[in-house]
Amino acid sequence: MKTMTMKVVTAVLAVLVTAACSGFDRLLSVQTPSRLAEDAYLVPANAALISSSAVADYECALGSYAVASGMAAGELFDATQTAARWSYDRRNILAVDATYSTSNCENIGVFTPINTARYTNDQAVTKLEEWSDAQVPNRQRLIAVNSAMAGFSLILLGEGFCSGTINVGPSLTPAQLFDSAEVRFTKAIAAATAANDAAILNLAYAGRARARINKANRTGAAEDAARVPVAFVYNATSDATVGRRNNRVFQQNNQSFSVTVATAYRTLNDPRVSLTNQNRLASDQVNQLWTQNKFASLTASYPIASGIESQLILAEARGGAEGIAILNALRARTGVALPALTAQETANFNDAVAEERRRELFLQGNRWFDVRRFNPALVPTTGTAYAKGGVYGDQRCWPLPDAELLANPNTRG
Amino acid sequence: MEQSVRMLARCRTCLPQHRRSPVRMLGMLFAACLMSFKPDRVPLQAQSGGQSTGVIAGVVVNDRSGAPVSDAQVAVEGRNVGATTDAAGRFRLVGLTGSGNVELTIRRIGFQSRTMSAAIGATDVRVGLIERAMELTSVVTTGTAGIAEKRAIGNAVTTVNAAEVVATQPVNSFQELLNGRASGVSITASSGQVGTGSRIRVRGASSLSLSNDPLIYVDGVRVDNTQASGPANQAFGSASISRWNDFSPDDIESIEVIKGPAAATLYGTEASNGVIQIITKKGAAGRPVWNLVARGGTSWVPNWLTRFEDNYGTVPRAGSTTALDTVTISTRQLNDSLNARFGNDIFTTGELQDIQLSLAGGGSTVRYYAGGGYEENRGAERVNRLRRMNLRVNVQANPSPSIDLQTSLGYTSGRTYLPYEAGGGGATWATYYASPSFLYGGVGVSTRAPNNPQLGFRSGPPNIYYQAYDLFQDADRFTTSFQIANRPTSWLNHRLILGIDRLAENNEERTPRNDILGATYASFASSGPPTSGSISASMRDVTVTSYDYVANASFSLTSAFKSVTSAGGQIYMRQSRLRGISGSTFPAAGLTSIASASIRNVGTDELFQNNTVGAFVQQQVVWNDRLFLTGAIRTDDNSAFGTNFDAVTYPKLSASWVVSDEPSLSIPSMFNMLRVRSAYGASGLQPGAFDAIRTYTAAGGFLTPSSAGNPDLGPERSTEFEAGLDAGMWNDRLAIELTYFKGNTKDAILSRQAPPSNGFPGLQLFNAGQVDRNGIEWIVRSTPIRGDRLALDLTLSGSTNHYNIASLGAGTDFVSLSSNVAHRVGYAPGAWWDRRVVSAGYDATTKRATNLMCDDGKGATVACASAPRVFLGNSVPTSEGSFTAGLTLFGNLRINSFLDWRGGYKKLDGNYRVRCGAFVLCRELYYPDEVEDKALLGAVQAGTAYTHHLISDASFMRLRELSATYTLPARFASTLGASRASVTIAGRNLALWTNFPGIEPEASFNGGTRGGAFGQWEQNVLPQLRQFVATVNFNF
Repeated sequence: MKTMTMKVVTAVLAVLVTAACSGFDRLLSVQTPSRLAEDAYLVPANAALISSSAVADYECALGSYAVASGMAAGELFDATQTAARWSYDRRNILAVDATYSTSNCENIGVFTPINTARYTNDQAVTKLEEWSDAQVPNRQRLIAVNSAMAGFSLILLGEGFCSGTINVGPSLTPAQLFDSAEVRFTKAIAAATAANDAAILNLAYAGRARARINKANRTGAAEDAARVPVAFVYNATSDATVGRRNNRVFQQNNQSFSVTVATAYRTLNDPRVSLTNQNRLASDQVNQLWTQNKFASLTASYPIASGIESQLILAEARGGAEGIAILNALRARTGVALPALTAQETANFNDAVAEERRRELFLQGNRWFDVRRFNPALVPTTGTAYAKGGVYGDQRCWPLPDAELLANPNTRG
Repeated sequence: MEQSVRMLARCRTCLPQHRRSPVRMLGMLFAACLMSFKPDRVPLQAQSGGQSTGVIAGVVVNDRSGAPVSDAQVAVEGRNVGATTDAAGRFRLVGLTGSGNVELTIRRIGFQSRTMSAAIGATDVRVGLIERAMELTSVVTTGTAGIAEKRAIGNAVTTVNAAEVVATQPVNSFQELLNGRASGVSITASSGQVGTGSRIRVRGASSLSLSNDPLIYVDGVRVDNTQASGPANQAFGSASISRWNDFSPDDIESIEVIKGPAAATLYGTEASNGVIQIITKKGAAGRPVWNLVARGGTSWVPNWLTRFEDNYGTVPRAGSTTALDTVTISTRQLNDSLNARFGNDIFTTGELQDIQLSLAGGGSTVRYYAGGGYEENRGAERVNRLRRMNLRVNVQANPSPSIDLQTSLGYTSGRTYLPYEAGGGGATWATYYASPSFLYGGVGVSTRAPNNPQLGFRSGPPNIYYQAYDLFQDADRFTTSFQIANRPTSWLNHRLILGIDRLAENNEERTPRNDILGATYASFASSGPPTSGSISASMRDVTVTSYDYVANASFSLTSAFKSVTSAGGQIYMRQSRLRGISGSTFPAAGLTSIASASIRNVGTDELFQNNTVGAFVQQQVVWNDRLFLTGAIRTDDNSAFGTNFDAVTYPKLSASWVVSDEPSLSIPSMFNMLRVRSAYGASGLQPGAFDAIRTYTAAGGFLTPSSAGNPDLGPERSTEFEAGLDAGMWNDRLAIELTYFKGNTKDAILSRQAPPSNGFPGLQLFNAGQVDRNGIEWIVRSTPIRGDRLALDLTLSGSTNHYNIASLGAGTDFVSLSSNVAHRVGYAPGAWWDRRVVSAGYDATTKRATNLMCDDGKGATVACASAPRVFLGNSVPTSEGSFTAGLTLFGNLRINSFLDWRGGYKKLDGNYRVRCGAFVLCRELYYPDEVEDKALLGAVQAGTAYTHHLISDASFMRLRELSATYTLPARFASTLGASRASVTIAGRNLALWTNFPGIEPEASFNGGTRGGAFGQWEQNVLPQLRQFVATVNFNF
């Protein structure tokens, strides 16, 4: 019996000694194969990845913004059965609402994806500036592209929201946000010039032109817009297999039937707003399903900036006959071939520009700020009953969300 | 397996006519599995060495329940003859010389000893033992250093005698077994779907942001305690599957529950939500005893044809091209349409078939329990069903008097099919939110034409949901423990437990390509072009490994004082791997594999590892075996603590004094036992694996910010003091256990929305708050009538708790969790907070409420547009309890009723919200003139902007179980070849009392975006089913 006891004691001791020798510290070290800690990520060897990842953050934010702002601006109707997104459509977003403030870009969030894109692009620029050309090939080119994307992020923040914040800072007006965007585009222009990269240079000029026209700086806007060739386009890339990288407009409208094109666009008879009536109800069983033909698949690229947008800015900045000539040139171009605007259509120049913009830039994320800038009548009018409950509001910009207000001490009083 | 199931099912029905043969077949099956045990075939173990000249044989049963009592010592007074009862409670005394009567003495821990006379030669002696209402000598293994007698423990330990409950009550799952039977344990049911689980809380919810799930152990081994898993059959967390229900109630001997940090200190970090330990059945020495239990049952949704509200809507007026009429649609109308088109009702009658077989026995050195079973359970929705197989083999061996070995092996495997519900749609969605407008129009059809294929159902008739989707979970789980205990000397004992819990879970959501459905029903577009079907599979593999070593050294200091010094260490390693893959667009109907999808996507591949290493030292001083003072220290380190945070130490102190054993005190004679106890201790709760570090995650070849992290993050620390008394009175006719607890959680981890402008999405955790709590728990058992022909026993158990947030960190007194759930200093965590409309005008022309005025929180009103959120009520129950009444007639008919209740909380009626706010279906919106309360009208007409009118008291009491068990007379049992046979007829969820205005107080989201720790919310959740079950139970 004693032998048995000794065997047991020996076995128990052996287990304990083995455990002790294996080192308890090692027991506490765990693997995280699906996530990379920041200090392992932000190193010069990853410079190209850091840069392209930040661009991807913006691309996803833009896709989501195009859909969300499309609903708010009356380009799209929400066609889901659950209420979370209806307030986009109804133009009565509350600061407490979760979808617009904290949802990611796959789920049609706007505030968080835009801020993330602004942060990662700014961070990429900061890191690239810390590192040397020897450490990072094409460093100036990367600085240029990320500076431009940070600028576009700030443009979306200023265009979509009534106020915004940068890096847990104080609340900024849209004009202040556009100023910050302009600083980044200026940096992008310098870096793209140093890198001798024409595409990024055009991108940066197109972005700065937009920031300037948004602030009603017509001279500055015209100067930049005029530098961008009409045929220029800088596209976001898409991918069918990764949800985050889908062409969001196609995915939401043509694939999941979660939005339908709004009534106001259905009978324009304009090749720039090409639609298909699917002759069926959308997912909410309330709205008729109309799908857009601008983006043909989940992998369709979509413009971040284009020469056409720059031409529209140029037309708006120049105004008068010159402006109308620019608009007519766009209408006459191959593939569109629309007659020149009539005198009646150009009687109010601003209305003409707004109308051309709403068609040319359909579903590209521009209309929402145009609703604020050009102040058209809201459709449907405020107070109209919303088919799925509640009534339409009168918003022309989204409030700074509680998610930021409550967690950011600098936004208070 | 299917073959053997049919065989098993036949067995249940044919047993009375063709006795034994199917049972023998089953027996042979199991015997084949158990060849290696070679149990002692001598049927009864007689301790007399004498010649078998006279015999007394019989059975020892629990006087109250009639359940057999194993391991009871039966001795003949004045003679050296005795025996021990086997697993069927049977004994056989041999070697009795002479004739006439002898006196038998029967003893068993937990029961009052009994002396009775029996005639030599009698072979049907029935001995009923009275269970002690308050037993201090029973042992407890949970929260103690090794095994301890209850009298030595200063904290409350609740023990549920599972085997006895399962023998008579309609209990189909572990959670049903626990529900209402352990004071301080609150179980919130989620859905009436079979296979779905509940949310379990011990002493309420004290963590602001971390999980409030208790730890669960099986035979000393920590196991996965996930309470919500399963396919994403909807977005909000309803109808989720609880891993707790993997453990078959038929295999469980007892459940021990320890509550709060004072009791759980020795479990360290992670244990502050309490610990629930399952102790599985073990073999008893004696002949091999077969136990066969077969259950057959039926279940349904009570009153479903009249239970749901009629919905309103507008339909085209006949003969007009523009005019509309307001009409209603009822469940009965829908059901008639469904019958006409598809030939079936909306809901059906569920069926339960369950067969369990076990064999227990052994000799003095090896004892074994081997059991297994198969269950099929079909719910009230036609696609809702589960099938599950469970096996268990437990072996105990004593290779020498100083060594105990124990292995416990459990395996369960099954598949659960779930229909959609809540945000996912499904039969409840289609029915609750039906609209007359869905009788008109349709895909590609003008809205004024009738004959919509939806038949008035929202989205589509239930049959279409069942045809379009196929959702299920496969779960395989293997839980094993090996324990070796050794007593090398008289003063030292030590034991080591090694264990592994291994879980493989596969959750699949399939939408087979079905072009016809896709083209016919707008909501089923994804089943036809352009997506043409889809599939999503998510796999969750969990491995929990436990190492637990404890050594106890006891010394007698003086004749009165004894010292017990204990030390031990534990290592817990938990690894979870989550993998999700999906595909869409199948080229042809019939293909549903991911490989055959045109678009394939790897969505998730996450590895979570979390390891804890801890050690403790405990010193106990015992005075005269009636005063026990214990002090202990535990230190833990955990892999999830922030980089700036090191190990954590928790103290414990406890005292227990058996006052009634104190000769110097004269306590009133009515007390046959009185003990006072008190405990103080701390334990913690760790953050999640990634909460401390700032990380990036990859998507499509790019990285994006994932978690903001917090390098200063440490565990929450909960401290608690509890005091109580246990009393047995009037010879155990009345027993009371009373416990008061008071404590707090400091460094409470608070999940706050990180400001999005910092670049990282989502939440960030801080050690920021303090939550104070106190409460009372009680159990009162009484046996007012105790006779051979009539016995009545009553048990009242319950608890209340009170929670209060003392702090939310500097500069914050309000943290919003959602638009209507928040933490606020001075209130319970996760309470309901929203604007409350208190008055409104009314415009008779527009028929809209106007000038909405809201509560300003200071006793006045303010325009609702600028109104603050005000306190509306708690979202977590603050009281729970149960009442059990058991009546035993003539020793063989037992009638048991069981009521339980929950109170002191409010629940959001999501059905009202959706009907009025989202889908414009409620009467108030069509006949606003009728609504006297214009403030209510204002809230209803505002869509989903307000929720105060949806949040109502959800307190309820339910007649949970009512059963009658008849134990067949021994002679009938023996004609069936059984040593004991009983038949039970039981009903479940038979009556409900509640003020809740919605469909079902016990329907709530268990996880997901609207569930989890706080905020009880439901939306088109299947109500709890009423069930009747017949059980036959044979011992052979």
